[in-house]
Amino acid sequence: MKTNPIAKVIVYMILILGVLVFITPFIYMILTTFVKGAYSLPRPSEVFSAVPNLDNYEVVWTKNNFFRFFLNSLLVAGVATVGSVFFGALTAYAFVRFTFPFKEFIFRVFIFTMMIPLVLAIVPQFTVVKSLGLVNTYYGLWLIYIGGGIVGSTFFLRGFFEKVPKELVESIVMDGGGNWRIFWNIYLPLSKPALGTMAIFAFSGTWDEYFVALTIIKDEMMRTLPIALMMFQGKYASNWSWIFAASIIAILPVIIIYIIFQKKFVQGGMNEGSVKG
Amino acid sequence: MKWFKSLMAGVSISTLLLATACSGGGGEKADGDNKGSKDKVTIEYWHTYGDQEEKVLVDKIKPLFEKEHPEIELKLTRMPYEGLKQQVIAGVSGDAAPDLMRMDIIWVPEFAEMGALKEVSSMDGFDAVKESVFEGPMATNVFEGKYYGVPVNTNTKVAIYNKAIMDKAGITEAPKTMDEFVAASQKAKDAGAKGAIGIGGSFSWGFLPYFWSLGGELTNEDYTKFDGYLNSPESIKAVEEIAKWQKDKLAAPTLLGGEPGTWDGMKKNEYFMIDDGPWFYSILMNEEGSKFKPLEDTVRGLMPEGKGGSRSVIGGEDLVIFANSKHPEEAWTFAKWMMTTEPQKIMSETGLIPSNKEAANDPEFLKVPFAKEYVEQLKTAMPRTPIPQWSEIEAIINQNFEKVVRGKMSAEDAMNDAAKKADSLLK
Repeated sequence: MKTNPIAKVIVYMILILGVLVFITPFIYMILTTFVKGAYSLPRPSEVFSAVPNLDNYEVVWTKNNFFRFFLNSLLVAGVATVGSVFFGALTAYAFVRFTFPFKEFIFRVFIFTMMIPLVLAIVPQFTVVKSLGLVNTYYGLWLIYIGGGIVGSTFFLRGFFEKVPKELVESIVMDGGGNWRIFWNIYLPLSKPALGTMAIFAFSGTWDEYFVALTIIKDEMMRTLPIALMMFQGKYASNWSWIFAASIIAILPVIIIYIIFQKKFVQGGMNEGSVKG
Repeated sequence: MKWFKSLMAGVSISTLLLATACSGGGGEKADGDNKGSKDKVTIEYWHTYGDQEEKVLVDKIKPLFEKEHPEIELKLTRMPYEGLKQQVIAGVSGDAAPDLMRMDIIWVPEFAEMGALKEVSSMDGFDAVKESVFEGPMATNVFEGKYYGVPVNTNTKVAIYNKAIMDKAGITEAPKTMDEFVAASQKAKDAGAKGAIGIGGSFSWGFLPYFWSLGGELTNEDYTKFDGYLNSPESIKAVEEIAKWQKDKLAAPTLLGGEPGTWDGMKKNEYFMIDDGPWFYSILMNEEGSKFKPLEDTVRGLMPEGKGGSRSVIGGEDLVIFANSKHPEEAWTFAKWMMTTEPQKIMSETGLIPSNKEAANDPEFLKVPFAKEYVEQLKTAMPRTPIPQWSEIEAIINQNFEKVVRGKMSAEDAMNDAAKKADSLLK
């Protein structure tokens, strides 16, 4: 196919412009971390003349138990991700394969819970966690994270699971396989792209989460990274170069997860050709 | 979709009700399980000190208190500001609040109304504490005639002038009266200052010092009426004057949230004057490798005296005990101790202004190079209206004030409207 070179140039120009628009704030942020003691946001002339150095990163890394919080967050977000994706997949499987009373109603309720603003739900949620005796434990945090995460992943994965051809399922049934085998060997492998996407959402969602974590966790040493980030903000003045340096460190795992999973990012065609027309 | 909307509304409302019901109810129990046991009692203290202050708190205050009161252990938890109010509400309604907290003075009436705080005026030794502290900060703890906290530290804002611009404009000392102040600002403007009057923004903490000094007032003396005060001719005139500064380009862009910020403008010798609290000095003096030397490069003065006098706004924090504290006696012991001269002096090393009169007038504290003006200004500084509805009312006043400054509303209409809305919230 021939392409018009002029059209191509225009397309590329638009794309490059788009990249610039999206990446400039990020670059500005990185450059700000090289400036010292920015109690007010530094101006472009200061930012672009800053000499790259890691001083602020060093300060931040050793301040406020930052490293400890980093590990805490890794544990919290890791378990929450695995939990919400796995249980979400199980729930989605049930919605696709089984018939049970009030199925659609329950599904609607699921979706409905996604629309309640977090701040509104925090007090009832806290009361529940408290009555279970899970305040100040990661179990309490996981309960809310995974419970909330399941809703999203069920909603997302149900659509995917419905596209899995019946014939594949029948082939397992014919060989005497049960639901577990169908789930484990057909649905999960065929939905890898969706699972990968879901994992990214679940991870970045819990990794960034500040409010619930601060409410449930009372012990200072058990706090997660977003809380540590907020500690850098003072009441009257904040050192922005520290805040940005801390934010860059905090964002690294999310970027790494993206790089790992991006190849799996929603792509169709996994089950094309598996069934003869 | 109609059923869906009504369902959603229903759920939200019941959630809200639940939240308020919970927070209202947690008040009654207390005492009980702390009697008779000789074990060490741990009291939990949520604080919001900054880095340097926290260090003093952990290294000096905690050991000293535990030495004098070996039966009590102090557990310190530093809380971030973001969403702090909701944290407190969740803690109170879930019976998981700490014993004590250091909270912003304007929150105290609001939480007291919720029933979240323990009344301290009936506690043993309260009168002695009340005697020893400044009146203004103490008044921020009042709700319906009773006290719900003690002022652990106080602050206010003074006028800070840029030395370089003063030299350029031929101004030799900080203006004392409002007329001198406006004239000096005009001179500074003519001498090339990017902004002359650096009001922090169109919110009450930012504009109240000017509003009050120009003769404006918020309420009657017992804080029950805005109508006739917020929209009195003097108040309207004060707002008009500030709007005029904006029109004449005397006000710095910060009044409407523009750049550069007050600190930035001061550090770069672009703003003639800003107003700020002692943290301006304590933070910037500790900044390594900065060319800006706050003490040498600025001149401090009281807020310029207008029809209303030289008025500034009181800030600071109060120490409160939660109603569902398991150890109210011990918590009060700590609060009381914290108000005595010794710990007050120790905390003042960081530039926090003691609310204890003796500590504030201690020669040692007055040696802090910037302390004098702040202590002086505190004598005439006023608290923001200490009522539970203040944050709602403040939002209305701020919005109308901004409309006037932007020229979208006349000062008279804006203040009449705000006074009416504010009074309806008081009922």
